[in-house]
Amino acid sequence: MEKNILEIKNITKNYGDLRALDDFGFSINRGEIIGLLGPNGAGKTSLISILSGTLKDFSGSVSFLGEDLFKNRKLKNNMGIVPQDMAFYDDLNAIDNLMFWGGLYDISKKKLKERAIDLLKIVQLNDRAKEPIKNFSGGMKRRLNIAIGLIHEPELILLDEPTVGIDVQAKVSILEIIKDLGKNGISVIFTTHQLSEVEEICSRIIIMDKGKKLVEGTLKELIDIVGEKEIVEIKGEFSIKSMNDLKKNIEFAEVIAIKENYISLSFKNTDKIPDMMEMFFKNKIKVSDLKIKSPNLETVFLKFTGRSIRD
Amino acid sequence: MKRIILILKNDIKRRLKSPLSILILLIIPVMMTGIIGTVFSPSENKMPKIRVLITDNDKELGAKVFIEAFKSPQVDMFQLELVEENKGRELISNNRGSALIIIPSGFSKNLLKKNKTNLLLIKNPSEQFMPNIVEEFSKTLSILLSGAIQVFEIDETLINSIKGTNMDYKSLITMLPMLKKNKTNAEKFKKLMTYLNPPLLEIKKEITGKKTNNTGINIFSYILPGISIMFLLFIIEIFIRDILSEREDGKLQRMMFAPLRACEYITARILSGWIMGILTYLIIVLIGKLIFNIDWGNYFFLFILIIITCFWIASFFALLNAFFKNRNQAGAFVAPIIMIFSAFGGSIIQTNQLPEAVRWVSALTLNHWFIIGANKIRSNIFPTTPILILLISGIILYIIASKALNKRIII
Repeated sequence: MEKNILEIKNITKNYGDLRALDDFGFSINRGEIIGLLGPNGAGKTSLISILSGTLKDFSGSVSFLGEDLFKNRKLKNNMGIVPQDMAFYDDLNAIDNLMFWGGLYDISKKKLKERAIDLLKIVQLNDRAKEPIKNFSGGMKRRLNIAIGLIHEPELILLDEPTVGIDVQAKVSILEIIKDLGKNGISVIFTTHQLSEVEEICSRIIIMDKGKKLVEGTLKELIDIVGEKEIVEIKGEFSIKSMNDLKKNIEFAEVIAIKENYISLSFKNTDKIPDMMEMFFKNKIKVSDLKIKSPNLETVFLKFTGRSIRD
Repeated sequence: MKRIILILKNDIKRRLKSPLSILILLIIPVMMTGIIGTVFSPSENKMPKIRVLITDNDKELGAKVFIEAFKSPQVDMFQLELVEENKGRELISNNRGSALIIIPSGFSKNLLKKNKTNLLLIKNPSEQFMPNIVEEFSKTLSILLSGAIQVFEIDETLINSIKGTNMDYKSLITMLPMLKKNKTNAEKFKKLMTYLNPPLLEIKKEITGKKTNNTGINIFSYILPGISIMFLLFIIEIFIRDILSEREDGKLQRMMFAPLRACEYITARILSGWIMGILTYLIIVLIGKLIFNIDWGNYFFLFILIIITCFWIASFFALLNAFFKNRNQAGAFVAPIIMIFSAFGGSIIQTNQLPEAVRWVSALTLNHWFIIGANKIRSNIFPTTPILILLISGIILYIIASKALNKRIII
């Protein structure tokens, strides 16, 4: 059995002068859950469009199950997507939707029906199977969205922000479903703006921005890059320029990110924080808030992209 | 093919579960046809009676004969009312009568003396045909009355002799010769009756061919095709607009993740609009037959015209949707496009009533060719030209639409 279920190599895609993907590539193993992180405009949508076959004129290659994805249409029977939008028919019920979306794949009607019933149990919608979806809550719709993505038993599934806009309880339930997918040998590419979710379920994380892969590794590997240092986040009234000027004089800490009215620093020794504050006061920089915390994925993300994932 | 049928079946299922928008678009043309048709329909049985007002200033036999003629059951088209002159004039000016006839005093006397006399006819200027009917009928009566008096030599002595009797005017007329005891007149009358009854010239009625339910011109058959084609454009556009909505809400991306080809998707979408359009129009045909008793003509020809028309519309909107960025843009453009088609194509006003300078535009619209086709089919003529024009232009639209949509899906 091949180790890499999907291998994306050197993908470059331009829209005129704009480079959406720049020599981008990664691979995913069977049963692995990869978190693909990037701020808006990072190139995630372009990557998804390439995988779906709706984006042409790019360089690079995509190998799925050891074959060129674009040369064998049948390979798509083993790949699924859960789009960010509730991409199903609201006026139909859950069973009708599962039967329709599953029918687009090469799967027998009998098997499809059995699978639909099983999936509705998994996503805890079996008692609402024949109710129009327009009556469903946001969380129920999200769960159905996942069930539709899994109806044809794919070996790889791409989950594009599957927890957006739902309550904590529904989120927990969805994250549990995703964890189970990995345990059952299904590979998952998971994109989200909730870094805590990635920390919780992903075995490997890829951070991308402006079409480039910036860093890749396990959560521990990524945090190690930032180092076992304390992270100090300062908010106040200052410009990016004034902080960049000040940055030259900060020797006792490493600047992770500077934004308008915000600076994040990594301190080897927190004893130096008063020295830094003194420097701020000397330069008449008003500080309104200061937080000390341990490094996490957000720190890593800030370090590599220079901005928050929600920017 | 399996996936095309699947999308098609799914569309039908969805529309059947939420049929409201389509039902509304089906009901509106039927209602509009009903309203317009009822207003302008020349229904034979319900022709309104002509309201005739008469002021009788004479009150003698001549006036009575004249008035009674309007009441005759054989004529049965007048609703008569005897009024004072002032009241009569007021009713005419208030548009509550078609004509006012004023019989002057001494009318009968003058007639019997064989002096010239006048009847005054006041016509309602707000009405077009009805006052003219009253005028023509009055003229005919005047000729008959003048003739009868002169033939029978009826004079005042005779009239005076029967004054005070309760005889109605018909009995009086019948008995006039006997009452006069004038042999010559009695003979003249007999002779006249011999000539008149039985008449030498008689109009015989003959009805040839099979009896149909079509009682003359059915105005609905002229209105419904024009109005319904306008709404068919709206209905098919709703189905085709799925191309935009599915692209916007992620369904298209999800479908393209499956082993579905872009060309299969495009075909399914056009086919869906096409088939749903055919089904919808067949319902309109049925409603037209059941409610308005429309004789559509040859149903096979009509079916061909509907198939080709719906194909044309589906391809046309598929092409437009290849250029629209989103649903909002489509919503903003589609209604004016359909209204232009309908205004110039004869759905709203007849094309021959358009200013001559813009009349050529109608030939560029679907509505024009469909209405011509439907009219020909009603006369059981196969509409070769409209069908060929719609078929060829429809195929061209389909080819361009498929290529343009493919470019929008696969960037």
